[in-house]
Amino acid sequence: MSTTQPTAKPPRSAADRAAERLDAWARQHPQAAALARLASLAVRVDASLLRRLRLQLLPRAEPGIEADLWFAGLHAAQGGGSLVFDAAVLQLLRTQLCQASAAPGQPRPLQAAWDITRGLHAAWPEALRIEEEITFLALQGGAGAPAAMGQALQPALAAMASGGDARALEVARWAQRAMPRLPDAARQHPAVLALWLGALVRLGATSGPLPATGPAGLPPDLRWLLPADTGTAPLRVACQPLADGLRLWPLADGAADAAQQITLPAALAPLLAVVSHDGPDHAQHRTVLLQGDTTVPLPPGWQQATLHNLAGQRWQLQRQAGGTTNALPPLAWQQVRVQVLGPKGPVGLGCFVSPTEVVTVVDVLPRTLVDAMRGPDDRRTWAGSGTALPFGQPLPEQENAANQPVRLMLQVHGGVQREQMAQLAALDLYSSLALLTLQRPFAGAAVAPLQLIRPAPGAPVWTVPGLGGQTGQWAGQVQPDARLDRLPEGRLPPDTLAQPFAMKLPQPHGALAGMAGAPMFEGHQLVGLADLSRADPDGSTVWAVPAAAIHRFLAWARRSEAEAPRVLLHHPVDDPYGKGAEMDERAAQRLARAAWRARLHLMPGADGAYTLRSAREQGADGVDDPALMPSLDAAIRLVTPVTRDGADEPGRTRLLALAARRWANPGFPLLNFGFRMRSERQPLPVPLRGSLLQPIETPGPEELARQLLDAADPVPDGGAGPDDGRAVLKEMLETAARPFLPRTSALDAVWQAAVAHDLPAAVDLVTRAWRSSSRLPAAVAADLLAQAALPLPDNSFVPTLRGAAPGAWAVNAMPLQLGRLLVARAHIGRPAPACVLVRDQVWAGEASAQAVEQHLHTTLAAALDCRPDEAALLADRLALPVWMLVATRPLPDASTLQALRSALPNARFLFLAGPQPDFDAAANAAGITPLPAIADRADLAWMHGYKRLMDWAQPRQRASAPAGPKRKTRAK
Amino acid sequence: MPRRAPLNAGDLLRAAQALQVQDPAMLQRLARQLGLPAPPASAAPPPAPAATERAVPPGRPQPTQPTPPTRATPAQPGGTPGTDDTAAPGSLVPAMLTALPDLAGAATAPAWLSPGMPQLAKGPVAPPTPHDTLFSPPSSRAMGAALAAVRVADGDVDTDRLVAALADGLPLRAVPRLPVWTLRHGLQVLVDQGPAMQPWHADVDQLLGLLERLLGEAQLQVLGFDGEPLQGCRHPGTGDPMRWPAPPPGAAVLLLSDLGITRLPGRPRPQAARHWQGFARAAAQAGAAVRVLVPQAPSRWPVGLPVPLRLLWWDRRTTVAAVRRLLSA
Repeated sequence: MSTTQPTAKPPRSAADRAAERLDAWARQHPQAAALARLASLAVRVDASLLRRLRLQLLPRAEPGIEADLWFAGLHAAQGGGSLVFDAAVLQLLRTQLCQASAAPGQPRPLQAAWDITRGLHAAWPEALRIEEEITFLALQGGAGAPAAMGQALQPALAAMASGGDARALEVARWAQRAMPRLPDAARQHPAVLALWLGALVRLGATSGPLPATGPAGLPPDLRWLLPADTGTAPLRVACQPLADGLRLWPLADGAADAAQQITLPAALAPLLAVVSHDGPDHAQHRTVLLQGDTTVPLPPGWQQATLHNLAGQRWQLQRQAGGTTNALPPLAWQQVRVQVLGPKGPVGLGCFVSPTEVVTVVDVLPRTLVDAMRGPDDRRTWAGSGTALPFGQPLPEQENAANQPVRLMLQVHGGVQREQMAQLAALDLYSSLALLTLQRPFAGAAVAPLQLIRPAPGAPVWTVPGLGGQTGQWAGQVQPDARLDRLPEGRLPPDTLAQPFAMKLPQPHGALAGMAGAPMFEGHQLVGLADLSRADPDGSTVWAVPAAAIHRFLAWARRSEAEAPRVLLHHPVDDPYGKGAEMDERAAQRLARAAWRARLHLMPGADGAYTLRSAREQGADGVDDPALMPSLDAAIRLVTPVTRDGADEPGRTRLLALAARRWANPGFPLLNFGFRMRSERQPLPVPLRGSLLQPIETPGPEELARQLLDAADPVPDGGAGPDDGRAVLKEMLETAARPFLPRTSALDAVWQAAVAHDLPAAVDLVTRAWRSSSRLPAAVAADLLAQAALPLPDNSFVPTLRGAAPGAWAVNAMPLQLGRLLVARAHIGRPAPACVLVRDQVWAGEASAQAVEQHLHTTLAAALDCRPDEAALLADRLALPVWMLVATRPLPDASTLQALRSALPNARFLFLAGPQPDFDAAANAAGITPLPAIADRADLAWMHGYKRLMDWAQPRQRASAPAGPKRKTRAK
Repeated sequence: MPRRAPLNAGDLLRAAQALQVQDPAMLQRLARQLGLPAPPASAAPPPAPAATERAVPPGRPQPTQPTPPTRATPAQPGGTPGTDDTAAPGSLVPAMLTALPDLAGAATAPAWLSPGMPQLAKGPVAPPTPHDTLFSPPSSRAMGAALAAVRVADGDVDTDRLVAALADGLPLRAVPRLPVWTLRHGLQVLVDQGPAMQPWHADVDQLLGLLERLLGEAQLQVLGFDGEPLQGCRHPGTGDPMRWPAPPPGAAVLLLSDLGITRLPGRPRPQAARHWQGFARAAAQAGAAVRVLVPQAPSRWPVGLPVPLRLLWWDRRTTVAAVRRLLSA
């Protein structure tokens, strides 16, 4: 995705809407509108400012206009006794203020408003005062304004340039908020621009809007303001001049150099200025943010363009004489395609995915080779040697067979072909793909980019012309997809997007022989590989393994042992005997083979499968039980008739370690396999209960490997989404509330009240209209509703807290339940992480840290039903990523926070500290990130509503009928 | 048949994340394939987290990064003189890329960046300015006393009435006395804590502080409410809900509220006359004189309010004498 610089003004539609809204309101409240104009110089409008502006500049106006302005809905944020005007409204108000000041014969309200604002805000942080001063200077204008603005910004620039990294980051965060709010006249001031760009470089180029650089474009050199290069690899950017543009795209690490490319320092934001000269006196400046394939428009007749970045690097692009080159040269598929040779000639095809790698399908490979690579079916053949299996390599007994070479026929150039040997490196677990590695790189190899989205039904695609063809293309069309199968819980299977698609070719069925492994293209991109092993649905229709499957396969096959997910095999037995022991060991060996096939790093207990010394002794001896290693990606439990991990058995500590991980991180993958077992013999700790025992006997070796890989290599969390999880939350609420709704529409009004942060109103509606139940607890629905109505002014806390690294945050509220639901809301769509609630904490040095740590141990012990000393050991060894919610007043200071973080290095701290003066400043001073401010008393109103909601959510006791026979009364 | 949940936006995001989709058009296409409504073109998926990318081990071929599909550049209408007419929009053209001399050192750091020059200070640098009061500051103490006082017949002997009674030969059951203003019965303050009172929080705090200095803590009872006191009050310190307690005998009740005059977005305006009827009746039964401080101008006050409520404008134009006149009427 690319971004060119935005226009200087907000989008017209937003400005128009703001103007209409402001006009309509101002007609009804002319005095309040005048007050709004006077207050528009302030960054944050507080009640004191409104009061003084009214008393001094609008002395005839009544006090009610302050409330009229407060609730006019012109703000973007409100809370903490102040409001921030919406950006579009602010621009209009400032413009009107300037116009009022320019009217002849009128007093100068701009100057008067500024005098009052400056006087009242003299106690505010300097950053905010600077922002207000620049606003005033820009509105006032005049010859001296630019110099004054530069002077005002000097302390901020100095702090960013030479105040140290931490201070520079603080200044950058402020600048990123403040600079877009400034008047147009200020935003193109060189000092403002420098500060804004400096902030973007430090916080990431996508962290905020790009400044409109104006006719001068990006500053030629801001090196003095930028952070030092951290030594990361530079970014190579390929340049492709077009008739009406310049195409730029970053080159991946390891990719070959492009014909024309530039190199940018990676530490700086990929901001680039492109200046095109289409005449002697005419130049166009464009600012480009490189985030992928980007085409910068240039005038059609451009002759020369220059590029430069913020670090002072410059390049010139001079158009050469001559006509155009071909817009899309035909793909040299002969360099992409590879022929796989059998004993009697070509048997199939494949394609290059790198100069040393060819991907094809198993059908074209010798059967013995494929079987040797897969290993024997361990359901029937037991070859339990007990030795470690070679990661990513054939089993020792199949080594010779698996290493037999595969002959490939490669196209050199000009129709010349050359034979080269390759080896089978990997077989996909999800498809028929196979990866071959060449013994040496092939210089003539061409790699087509993968199109990861499957082609749409009806899309024109093409493939190479069969085995013998050397020229031309076979055009075809993608057939409609079959309906996607879903898992019972309604989700897509993990590899749904890699399901094969069908392509219809006009060629007769007989011509398709030998097409296995043929690459298929859409334009110049590889969309799949022909797979003839599937049943032919209709004559000359060919199935294809899509490029997404190739992409996933390659990422998996290229993984080294060090990068492989670490999976614990938990299987404690202390008394093996007879035939049972042999079957038990065989099940464990099946899992080891499955892990080998899935390329996982399987770690049995450090002391073998049969004994387990106490974890404390191991720690003292320097022996590490993998169950206690913090960097564990998944775990497998094997439960057999001789398994011992009950209350007093050897596996107890390891079982508790798994339970503790599951408690702290409910998404921790844990597979439970049973051998002749259908249920657990001993009750498990609570966090592990409810998981099913899957049979170990029945699945085939490949299926077992897939199960392990799916668990250990999950799809990464995609974040809460563009709406910060609101849609997901609504869906979950609809599902949870369904039993209690008299009709579906009864949720709508409640939802509206909730998203307006008015939980009491939502609860009124719930208690009035929703059904309560005598059997069904509605706590889940109540929790979700309370999450929707959290009193925070916006949802910016969701990406902040979701997947947050260990650290500390603070919110100006006290209820711990609010904190708990805040964390749950941030993780919406995933199981809510564990929260440890610490009430009314006071700070007294390291003793406080120990007290908080003690809370964790107590909570963990209660959750696992274990002894406190065991909980302490687990917490100490596992570095659990829990959320510690601490109700406290005041916030801890920096040294106390340091002590807390030393005691619980992996914990995330959320301090619920209630409203305090200068809350944000106190939090920042201690190294705590303040969350968006909650309006005064809003947390208490929310808590009051939450209590009422939970009262309603409890199942009602049915009124019991009076004992004895019913009495009938005879009507007289 | 088990009921199956539909796919949702989370599934789309997970799929986009797994496929590293960065292009809005591609995202829309992906959404259609999953049977979901297409997201707006501007809603790009979050970039893939770096932590999920795995490095390629040394000695192995580097993985091929998929290149996003080439997007067609929109054709520019017309053209400038001298343009190569044969160059179709989007077609490749020959051009030479050369590196120009670096500007390193050409733009030196400004002089004021030298060490010792002032840098942006942290935090507040001076105590905050006090909030301007709604009542005129010189008369605020007298105003507080006027608001809290009740008029009782506890002054000097009313000789006129005494003489008249004796002259008429009426039996003298009590000595008639002149009325005086007194604070000794205390004051119950009911603070509207609804959202409409947000702009007046500082004024409420100021007034409560003034009254506490005037009356003392024991003589002042402060309760919060939202909506109307009979719906429930709140203890100011703990926030615990409670029923409205009738004030001590003889004490006045001071209500700080906007009476629903402020129009809150998304909320209907309450019918003030009917809304306050119940409370006015209950206060009258308790024998309490209720005075209401309203920040809005009298022209905006709701009509038809119950008579026992004495409304006072919370503004500098309200004088102590006017308050006394109104309350003694």
